[in-house]
This record gives sequence, C-alpha cells and structure tokens, in this order.
Amino acid sequence: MAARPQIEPAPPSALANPRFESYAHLVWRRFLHHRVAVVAAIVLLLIMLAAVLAPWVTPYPLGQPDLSAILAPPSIHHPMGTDDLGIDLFTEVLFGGRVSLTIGIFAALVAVVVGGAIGSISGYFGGLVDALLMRVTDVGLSVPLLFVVLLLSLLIGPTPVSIITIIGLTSWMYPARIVRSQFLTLKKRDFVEAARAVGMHNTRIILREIFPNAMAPLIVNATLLVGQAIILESVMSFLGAGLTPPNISWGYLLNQAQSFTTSAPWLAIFPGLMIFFVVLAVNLVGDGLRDALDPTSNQRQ
Amino acid sequence: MRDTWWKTVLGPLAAAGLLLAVAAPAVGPAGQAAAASTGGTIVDGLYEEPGNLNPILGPDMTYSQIVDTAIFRNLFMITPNGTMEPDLASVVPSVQNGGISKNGLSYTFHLKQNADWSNGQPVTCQDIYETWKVVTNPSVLAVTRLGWDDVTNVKTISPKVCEVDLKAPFPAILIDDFSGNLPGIIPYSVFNGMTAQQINTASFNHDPTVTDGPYMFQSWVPGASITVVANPHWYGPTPKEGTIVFKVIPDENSLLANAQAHQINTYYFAPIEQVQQLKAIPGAHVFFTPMAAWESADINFRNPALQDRNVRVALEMAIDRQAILKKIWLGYGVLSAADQPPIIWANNPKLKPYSYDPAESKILLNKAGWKMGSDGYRHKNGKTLQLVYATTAGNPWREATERLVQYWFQQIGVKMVIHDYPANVYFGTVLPSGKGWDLGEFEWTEGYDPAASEEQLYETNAAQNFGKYSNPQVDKLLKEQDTMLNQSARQAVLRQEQAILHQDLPALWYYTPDEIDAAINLTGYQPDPWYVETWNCYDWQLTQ
Repeated sequence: MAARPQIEPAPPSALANPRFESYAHLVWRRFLHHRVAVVAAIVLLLIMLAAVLAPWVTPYPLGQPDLSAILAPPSIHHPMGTDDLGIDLFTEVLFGGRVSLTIGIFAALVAVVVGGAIGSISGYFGGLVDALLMRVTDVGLSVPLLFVVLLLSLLIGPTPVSIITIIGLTSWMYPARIVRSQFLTLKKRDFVEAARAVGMHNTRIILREIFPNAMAPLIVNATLLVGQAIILESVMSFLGAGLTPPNISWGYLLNQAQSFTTSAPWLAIFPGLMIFFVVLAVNLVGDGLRDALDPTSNQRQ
Repeated sequence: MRDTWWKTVLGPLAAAGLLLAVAAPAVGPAGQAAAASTGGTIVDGLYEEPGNLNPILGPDMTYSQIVDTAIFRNLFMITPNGTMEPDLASVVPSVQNGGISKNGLSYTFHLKQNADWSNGQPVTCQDIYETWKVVTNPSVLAVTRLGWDDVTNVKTISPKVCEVDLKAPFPAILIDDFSGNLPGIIPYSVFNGMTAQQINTASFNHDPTVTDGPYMFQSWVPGASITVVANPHWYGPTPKEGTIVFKVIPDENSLLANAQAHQINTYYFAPIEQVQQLKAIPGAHVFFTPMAAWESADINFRNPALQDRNVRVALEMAIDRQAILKKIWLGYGVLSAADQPPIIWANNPKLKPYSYDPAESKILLNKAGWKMGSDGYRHKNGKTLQLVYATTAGNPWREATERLVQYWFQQIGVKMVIHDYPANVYFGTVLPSGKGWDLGEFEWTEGYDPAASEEQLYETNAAQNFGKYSNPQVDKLLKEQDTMLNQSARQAVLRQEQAILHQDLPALWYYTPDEIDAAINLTGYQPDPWYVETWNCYDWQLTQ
C-alpha cells in the first residue's frame, strides 16, 4: 500500500483570514521588508519635495546676482556658498533639481513607453515584424549614444522638452528588449490562448492580458533609466550641449564649476553630491522593486 | 688559451661607437650644426593647435601666428610701444626718405643684406614677388588678399631692392601685408612653379623646411607638439635658448596645471579667473597688457525691434558694464564708448561710454512703444520683446556676462534667451548666417592700422558685418580715409566715423579687456599688443 503524501497544514493566518491579497499589496509588503530601498525611497522623496517646494524654501530668488559676494565659501548666509556671480548655490541646486529630476523621470517615461510599445509588438507578433523591429533596436544600440545626443541637441536646441525627447528616444532599446523577452514567454501561456479562443482582439490581449504580467522587469528598468537620464543630461550640460539659464540643472552647475575646481570646489561638490545621492537612491529603489516583484515568490491567484 | 673572440670583435666596435657619440657634433635635420645657443628648451603652452604653418594660408589663427612668428619674419614689425621697425627690411620707407612715392602708388623696399633663409639662400625680391603671385591667386586658400590685390607689380631693382606698385593708394599696406605673419613672406625656392592645388596641399604647410626667423622648424607631432630649434642663418640676435617646444594643451585647466607644475614656460591669453592662481606660482610673472581689441555684442538689424535706436540705447544702458569690468575682469580693462580701444591712434577720446541707467532704459523702451505686460516682459503689437543672445560656448567669463545681462534685461522687461555655440560653429556658420541670434557677443582683435577692421565690420555689406548694419555716412568716411597718406588727416576722419558708431550702436559696446599672459621661469618675455608673444622669442631665457 503506497504511503499517503504528507500535506503541510495551511498557515494559521490563511485559515483565520482567508481574504484574497492583491498583487499590489503583496509587492508593497515585500518592498517594505527591503530596508535599504525604503530609506532610499524616503531620501528620494525628500529631495523631490525640496525641489518642488524650491520657490518657497530657497532663501534667495533664482538668478539674482550679488557681485559683492562672488565665490563665497559655504556660510550661514549661503549654506552651499555662492557662484562666480554671487548667486546662492543652495538656491541653484534646489531649482536645478527640479529640472534634473523632471528630465530624469519624463525621459525614462518616454523610453519605457516607446520601448514597451516596440518590444510588445515585436514579441507578440514575432516573425518578420519581430525581425525588423529588433534590427532597428540593434542599430539603435550600436550607434554611440552620446554623440547622437550631442548632435541632436546642437541641431534642435537645448530646452527641457527637447532634452527629454532626445534622451527618451535614444534610450528605449533596452526596455524594448526586456519587454520583448517577456512577451515571447508569456504569449504561449494558457491564459493568452484562452483570450484568443474567446475572440479577443490582439491589441486588447497585448494591453490587458500580457502587458500587466510583463511590467515587473520594465518597472525596475524604468527606475534605472531615471538615474541614467539624469547622468546623461549632466554630461550634456558638462559638455556645453545642455540647458542654459534660466533653465539650470545639476549638470549645468557642474559645467559652470569646471573653471573653479581649485578656487571654489563647493561649486562642483554640492551639485555632484546631489546627482550621486539621487542616482544611488534610484538604483536602490530599483533593487528593492526587483526583489518585491520577484515572480518566484509570487502568490498571486 | 681559448680565444675570447667577442672581446676581440665587440670591444673595438663598442669603443668606436662611444667615440662617435662623444665626438660627433649635434646634427639637425638639415645636416647643419646646431646654433651656438644654450641647450635650454622653452616649453610654450598652446591652447589651440595651428591649422598649418604656411605664413600666407588660412585659417587665420592666432596660435598659427605664434608658431609662424618664431620661424618666419616679414619686412617690418611693430614694437610694443607702437613703433614700426625694419625686420627683414633695412629701413622703413616713408614719403620723407623717398621710400614711398608722393602719390602713394609706389613703395621701395630695401632688404637686409644678411637676411637669409634657413637653407642659406638670401631673402630677395623674388620672395616678395612670389608671395604676391601666390596670395593673389584666387584658387589659393590665402588668409586674406587685402592690400595685395591692390598691387600691380613687384619690380626687382636689385636682388635686395624692390619696388611695389599699387593701383590706388593704400596707406595701411605696410601694416596689413608687410608686418607680421598671416599674411607673411614665403620662399620663392619652395613655391616657384607650384599650382594652386599644390600650394594648398604642400607638405611645406606642415613641414616648413625653409624659414627665415630666429628659429627653424624641426618636427610636428600632431595633437601633441611642434618643435623649433635655433636658426643659424638668422640675421638677428642669437636665440638665448636652443629649442622651443610648442606644446598643444587645448584646455585652460590643463594649461594652469602645467603652469603650476612648471611644465610650461609661457601661457598666452590666460583667462581672468585664473589670475590669482597664476600669480601664486613661484617664478611666474603675470602680464596685463592693454589690447588692440574690444568685446561687444553685435546687433542683428534683421530684427525689426533692434532697428529702433531707442531700443539699442535702452539695452546698452541696462547693462552695468563697469560692474562686469570690475567684478569679472577684476578691473583689468577699460570701458568702450565705441569700438576703437584707447591704445589705437584712431580712438576718439571725446567719446564717453554710455552710463548704466536702467531707469532711462525703461523710459526709452516705453518711448519705442514696448509696454510692460503682466508677465513681467514688454510687448508691442502682440509681440514680446524677446532677444536671443549668442556667443561662444565654454567660455566662463562670457557665460558670466550673459547671465548678468539676462538678469539686467529682465529688470527692464526684456526677455533674453541664451544660445551658445562651439567657436568654429559660431564664427563659421551662426554669425555669418544672421539666423538664430539677435545679439552676438565676440571679441575683435586688430592690428596697428584700424581701417581694415572698420571696413570689415561696419561698411555696408562688408564680409564681417554680421548684423547688416548700414550707414552711408560711415561708408563715405571709410572710403575717404582709405586714400589718405597723412595719418593725422586719417585720424580726424576715423574719429568722426567713431562718433557715428557711438551714436548708432551697431553693437552694444562693452569693454577692452587686458591681455593676460604668464611667463614661468623665463626672462625676456614681453607681450606686444600689436604682435603675438613670440615676436622676441630669441630673447627668452630660462631661469632656475
């Protein structure tokens, strides 16, 4: 007579409270367990809040020169010092944060939307469509990104909208590949077959059935793209192809600091530290989200 | 006993090699003995690498002139105190000494008897004749033909005496064509018989084997350095140091670091923000030299708003130029009332710079019909008074200036957008096209004779009249002084022209900054506002 299989008893919480736990709630709970990511998220939120509230928080108006306080080191009156026109650096850093974070977030959004669309079409339809779109993606990945970005900035002119567009439209390739690989796997699943069987349109299948299941790695990639976009904008400004006043960014401030690295190092230190903290925080949040969205421990029904 | 053959064979060979190394004199690439200078090597930091080393070919680059002037000479030169002295020539021609005909149509040049090329051949009238033929060849990429295209003939009276005839008097010809380089004088022995294509692509342009200056070319490592060594055939004082290495360092921070590390001995055109650090270098001498130059922002008359003089004056008076000079330039410079700086003889001393008066600016803008809107900017007929301000990118003191101007313009209700470009794009495309800018800032450097500058910048349809300024009275005055031989008479006419430019404001007049140069562990270095730093490089000497 065969031995009866051992069945683990259900955890008491499940029996006592058999309510269905939503996927979002599960992810949130798992994220909260990732302490480093939580701290990073709080830091990021504080920086974003300070940037948003810059007009009310900063002690001086943006761009107001004080020629009697040129290149003043950090002090009580100017916590981060002043620049070569006596403009308060703390004010510039906060206002610069608005621009850098806006560019970072929206450029990542553009990249994710464009990459997501291309990757989903490519992965779902396969065949010639897939081949064409992936060759386009390969070309995009082969072209030296920095040169393209600098050239486009020179041709179009550097405004916040143009820089978001340029960075977003030159960064969609990796999201496209990520989404495509997810679609290649997911489109063979039973629930997709079932959706086809009931006559659901392809667009609806892509958007309602497959895409929500493919989002997890895309979300993680999006957070990394934010950091990359902020750094790319900083490099553009550092090379003189970025924004100009009154649209200043952290990269613009670093560019200005080049000529004063030995005589006024605070001009480079503070904007540099802001970029460092934001990019680090974004990467740590991305790590936390990756762990929280890990499908191997997914209990979604 | 076994024979130690290697001692037998190699020993004498080694001894012979040692003898050769010790006994043979240092030999240069032309097989000549090195000049009897000391063995010192001066390192000159070059911010830009020359395009080529042909003294008549474009592009017109100051850093090409610097190297050219170490190895090529012209008939005359202008000393730091503004005096013209003979260089390859033995005397400066004038109407008084008969060197210039009374009608100004003929010049007689006497060349120094001991003026030779580095290949030992004498500098003769044939070289001047060849230069004329080459420069005026329309297919040759000459840096300029101004003056040379007025020459009708170069006659050889004797190998060292020649007559240059002009079709019309051109009093500036000695300055524009026979002083300095670009254009300079080229060797007949090299260029005789060459086609224009051959001249434009000659190996000589990057390997000038025949030169007549205190130094001669030795080598050029592209992107790194150009080396010149003392020229034994130079007619002037023996160079005090045997070698100059022009080291290409296209970054001002790197130039400063090299200066601080005593890796370079000269730093030409140092930026104002590095002055304190340069002064702190042991063994460094920082020079502040009034320049024959001015910084201004050209007005683009294609913008209808700027065609109104009230608007132009309002903009000029809204800028605190004195504050820019005092705070950004640390006081090293003078304010401008018009274009010509004080050290130029054509400067009109009666003209005073516009005052800083933003209140008056607002009155003038109101008078011009530009009324303040609720957005803080001025409007007229549904248009906002918005101006695009352009200049070269990557220049800290220009960036500081434009940020200040943007702030001051905002105070009077003028919206200013900044758009900077790389220098080659700005000067090569943006300014000449007239598009994408309303105010274009740049510095203009001129030679001793200001007429060429005035004609290039402010004459109607002139090549570098980027803003399309036009005043028939200015055109008339410039033509009038063109044929005057008497400098006093020319001065009166040019001062009158200056007064019109002051009134008209074809540019926002800013200031003339001092030239800042540094010599590190070097004596004899003396900036010359009419020339480039290497004018007296034979006098440079290294110190401990």
